Parts: sequence; C-alpha cells; structure tokens
Amino acid sequence: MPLMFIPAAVGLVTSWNIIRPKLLAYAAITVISTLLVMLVSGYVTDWMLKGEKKGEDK
Amino acid sequence: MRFFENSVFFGVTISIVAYGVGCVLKDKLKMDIFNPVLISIVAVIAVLACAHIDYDVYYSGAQYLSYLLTPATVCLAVPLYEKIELLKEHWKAIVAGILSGVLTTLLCVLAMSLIFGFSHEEYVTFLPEVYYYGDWNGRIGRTWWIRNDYRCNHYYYRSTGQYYCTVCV
Repeated sequence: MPLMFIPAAVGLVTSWNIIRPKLLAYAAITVISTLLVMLVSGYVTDWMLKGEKKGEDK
Repeated sequence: MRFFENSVFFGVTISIVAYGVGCVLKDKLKMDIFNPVLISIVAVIAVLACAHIDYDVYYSGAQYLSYLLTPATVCLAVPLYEKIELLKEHWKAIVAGILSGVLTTLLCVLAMSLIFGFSHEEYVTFLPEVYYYGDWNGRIGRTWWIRNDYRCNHYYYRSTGQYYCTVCV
C-alpha cells in the first residue's frame, strides 16, 4: 500500500515553485501539527481508558 | 529510451523499482528516517529531474497506482472489523481520541497560519478534508466548512489538471 502514495508525493514537483519560498513554514506546520495531534489524541484516549478501568474497579 | 518513456508502464515501473531500492536500502541502513517511501519519492524525483521527464509523462502511467489507493483505503476497514469487539468496548475513549485529534489539528493549523500569515488558499490546503467527492465530469470536488457563515468549493479537474474555486479564487 505505501507504494501507491509515491505518484501523489512525486506530484510535489509540479508545485515546487509555490512551495519553495515558504518551505520552512510548510515543513514546520506539517511536523508540529502531526506531533501535536499524536500527543493529544494519544493522551486523551489513554486518559479515557484509565477512567474506564477505575469505573470497573468500583 | 524515448520508446520506454512513452510507454504506459514507465511510471509504474519506475515507482516499483524505486520502492524496491528503498526497501533494500532500509534493510541495509536500519534507520527510521530512511523509510522505503521517502527513499523512493526522492529517487523518482531525481530520475525525472535528471532525465528531464515531465511529471505528466510519469503520471500517465503512475495514475494507475494512485487509482488503486482508494480501494486500498477501503480495505483498511477489514483489520478494523476484526477488532470490532475491542472497538465497541472502548468506543468512548476512541471517539474522544478522534475528536480531540481533529480539534487539535484544526486549531493548530489555524494558529500557525495566522503566525506565518498564510493566504486563504494555503490555509485550506493544510486543513483535513471534511467532505470529498467526485462527479461524472471527472472533477474532484472538495468542500470545507470552516465557519457556519463560510463555505468554500474547490474543484480540481483530474483530466486536465486545472484548479478552480467557485467562491474564493
């Protein structure tokens, strides 16, 4: 399945002129938002699961 | 070489070969940053740039790989279904996780777009797509609802590569 993402990703070359001036900003927004979403949804799910376990113990 | 370039199999072949090289390199290097997808993307771009091959020529073959992506995504529902009991049991935690993740990405993209002073076009590009559809003209439409009073329609013609918007562009 990862194979199928290659053509779309190579398509970045067609918009290279748009991307180049703001490359750093685009990279930052992608990396930071990805990390943040992983952390937030991970911790929220974990927190909810712990809450479920506590409810069972009572 | 010209004959090979014009072949429909060119895009598919180069993608698969690049991915194979990527897999071999990953095994050799054993570093997460060198994942097969990243290596193959860089390799394909390098080959296209060095041989002065247009992206459209590559895509005329590679589109068949992209085409398979949609059914492959649907197939992801199968492993999900195998865990259906687990999902049912913890549905509250799962829903909470999804909602918090969606809210985080929306707020994060909004905040950073304001910081970097992005235009509306750039801003919506980073938003996850809320609603995605195709019609019989071969257009792929994307619609975002950002605020209640605001609606934006983007169309992208897959056949011609043209892009237009009924509201904002």
